[in-house]
Amino acid sequence: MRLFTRYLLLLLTFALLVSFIIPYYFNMPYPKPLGPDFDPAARMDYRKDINEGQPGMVLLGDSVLHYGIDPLDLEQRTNTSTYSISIQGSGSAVLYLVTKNEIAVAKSKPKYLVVFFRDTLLTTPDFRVMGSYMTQIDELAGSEETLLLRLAYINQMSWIEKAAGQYFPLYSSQRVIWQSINKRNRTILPETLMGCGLECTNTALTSVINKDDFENSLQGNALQIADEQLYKPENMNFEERLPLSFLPEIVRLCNENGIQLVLVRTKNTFIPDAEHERSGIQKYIQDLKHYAGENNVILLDFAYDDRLSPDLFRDALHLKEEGKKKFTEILGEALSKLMAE
Amino acid sequence: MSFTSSQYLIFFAIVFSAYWLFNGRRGQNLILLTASYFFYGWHAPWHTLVLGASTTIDHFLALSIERDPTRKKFYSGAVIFLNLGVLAFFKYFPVFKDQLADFTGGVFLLRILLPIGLSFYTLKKIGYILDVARNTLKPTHNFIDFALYVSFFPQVVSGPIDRPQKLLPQIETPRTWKTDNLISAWPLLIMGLFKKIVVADSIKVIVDQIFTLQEPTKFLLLAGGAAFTLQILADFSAYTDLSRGFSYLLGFNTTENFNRPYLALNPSDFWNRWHISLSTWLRDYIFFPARREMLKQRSPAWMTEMIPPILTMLISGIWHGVGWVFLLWGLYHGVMTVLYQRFAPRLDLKTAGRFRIFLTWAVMFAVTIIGWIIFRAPSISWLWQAVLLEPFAGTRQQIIFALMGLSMTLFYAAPLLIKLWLDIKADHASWMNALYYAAASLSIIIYMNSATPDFIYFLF
Repeated sequence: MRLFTRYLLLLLTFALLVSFIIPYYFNMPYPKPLGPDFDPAARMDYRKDINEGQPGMVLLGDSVLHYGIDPLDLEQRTNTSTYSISIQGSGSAVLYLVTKNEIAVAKSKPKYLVVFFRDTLLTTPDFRVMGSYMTQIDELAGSEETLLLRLAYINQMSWIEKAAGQYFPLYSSQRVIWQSINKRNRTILPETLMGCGLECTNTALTSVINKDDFENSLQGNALQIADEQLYKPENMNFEERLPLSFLPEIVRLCNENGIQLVLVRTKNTFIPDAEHERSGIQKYIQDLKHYAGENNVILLDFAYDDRLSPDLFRDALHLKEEGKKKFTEILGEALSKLMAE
Repeated sequence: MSFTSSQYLIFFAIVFSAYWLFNGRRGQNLILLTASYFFYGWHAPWHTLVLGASTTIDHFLALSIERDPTRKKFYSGAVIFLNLGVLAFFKYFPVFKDQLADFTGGVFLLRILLPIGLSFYTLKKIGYILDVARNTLKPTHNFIDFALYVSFFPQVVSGPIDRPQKLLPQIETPRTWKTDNLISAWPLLIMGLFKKIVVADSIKVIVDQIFTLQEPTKFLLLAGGAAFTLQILADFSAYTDLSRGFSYLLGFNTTENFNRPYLALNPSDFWNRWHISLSTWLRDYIFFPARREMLKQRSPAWMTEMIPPILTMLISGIWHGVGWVFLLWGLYHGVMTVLYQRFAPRLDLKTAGRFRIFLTWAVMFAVTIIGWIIFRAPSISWLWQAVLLEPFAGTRQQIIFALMGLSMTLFYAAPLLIKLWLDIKADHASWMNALYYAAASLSIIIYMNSATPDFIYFLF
């Protein structure tokens, strides 16, 4: 009992101390507005490339796009200059931020925005927004991101999390503290032994963890586990999820800026044909098609395309070089037809 | 439902309140049994059918042994066959699912997944039946009690594999709330959360990166091995701590599964300290019977010395997973145990010098890391490539990456080393210990949203 009493006493003392020190140290208002703080200056600058290159078509997606489409080949097949933005691990929050902060505000707006997605990704706003993904989002977020905060974070919080986020500074500043600990702990040995600091270790990390060096056949399970969130029953209800997602805003931004939005549903080898598809996903895609039809959005569905055979995949989601050629050819064909109409 | 999820906390709060509102043992057991099946079926409700059906069959077979001891070999054989059959089906099903799907044309086969915890509760039930058959345990006639013993929710997913002699008497005894429950539980809960959220999940990132590289250098492999050595201890002992902590809150004292395993000085010592409930199970139901049988058959001494440990560790490997790496890992530990028993000089801790003890420890720790590298390797060919064909250090970038891995390992190992030091040197109720737990609690808050992967042992 004595240990417990001492523990409680120390815990309360520390909790009180950090509640005063943290707001002072981080110059944080109290109570703190809900949701994470983002650096007001967006650092990723795709807009500059779009303004300079003036592409007619922008491709937007995650690593599936990187491994699935050759932009130069697609450009030749569609006779439309093409710019590809593939951000590894991006969820719908990233797709929304790029559309809003990079594409919709570019001086030279593309005629087509082709967004790659799988299954319920477009209406799952909290998919890949925590942990390391938050850094990625931070790099794309601007100073006013009310919708992002509401859909991706605040809507997902319980009342306890909301209260802690506002009134308990240690909780609300957890990301900043955690990141600064992580930056320091991984450089201890490289810095001491090789004089390699933060920037140098980051370069080494990017160089070694180049996705091409990964043993892709080993990633099947990890990919499936990582994607489980997309197949939760509540996330497969399109009608309910739509108003809580970024999709209506992406559609609005495109329609108001004269950009034709094309949604491309990609294939994976977990469920490669329609016959074996989960009934929830079948219904979801039907509803999505209906929604797209009503909102001037084109939906191209390659999820069960037989031409993309399993041997063309390097893992469950990503295509090999031969697969990339094939998918570029298939998509080029579909887009050319669409552009001609 | 993971112990670290918010759903679990709500679930436990409801169960805890309802449980202590009842004074009677029967009511409490019924609440716990219902809660255990709810917990177990949270992700896949049909898994409760496998658990329920196998529990019912085993209960009646155990009673049959008591009624007709002359047929105990038949009944216990049936239990072993049934339980291992179910385990083998679900474990090996993914390996053969494509061929089976072609054969049956049934898509439902594609969706069958290993029910979580099956490996754990299968051993619990087999141990129970074997003890009944050996007359070292009187079977319970109360089905609820037996079903609760098998499915007790703090243990059902990843153990500890508590023996019926320890858990059943507690299930059969009335329980009333005592402050001691909380006093025993809270340090375990804090350490469990700390080890999982702060240590294991942080180090997991670098481990996953290294073990997914196509061609890691030997130095990277060692760094990954060292990191995984920390991750698996932190992750699994965290689960055990949480399991024991929640059990204490319900009035149960369950088995300790770890006793500073990385301080072991030889392979046998390691297995007496690591996953103790599994090691003792394997010792009592595989190692000793195999050795006894060989002695009875008057097998040559070298065989009685070699075969039981190798067989036991091979079975341990198969239990841990499907694939050649697990078999190789089991064989490696079996061979190491035999080599130690046969060739290693005996170390008398009372007379041996500090340097000699340190050297012995360092050798055993290296043996342990190599074992974990085999265990975590994605395939034998990958391991072969890394060990035999890749350079030791590689490019400057690869060396820096490996050093980053080691840096993170040292950083996250430090709090566990401090705890070890406190356990040995400081008074249990000291301010130092209280300070440690307070700092651990605050660290949990800082790290709680950084990642949310499941416990490693959920996979077994």
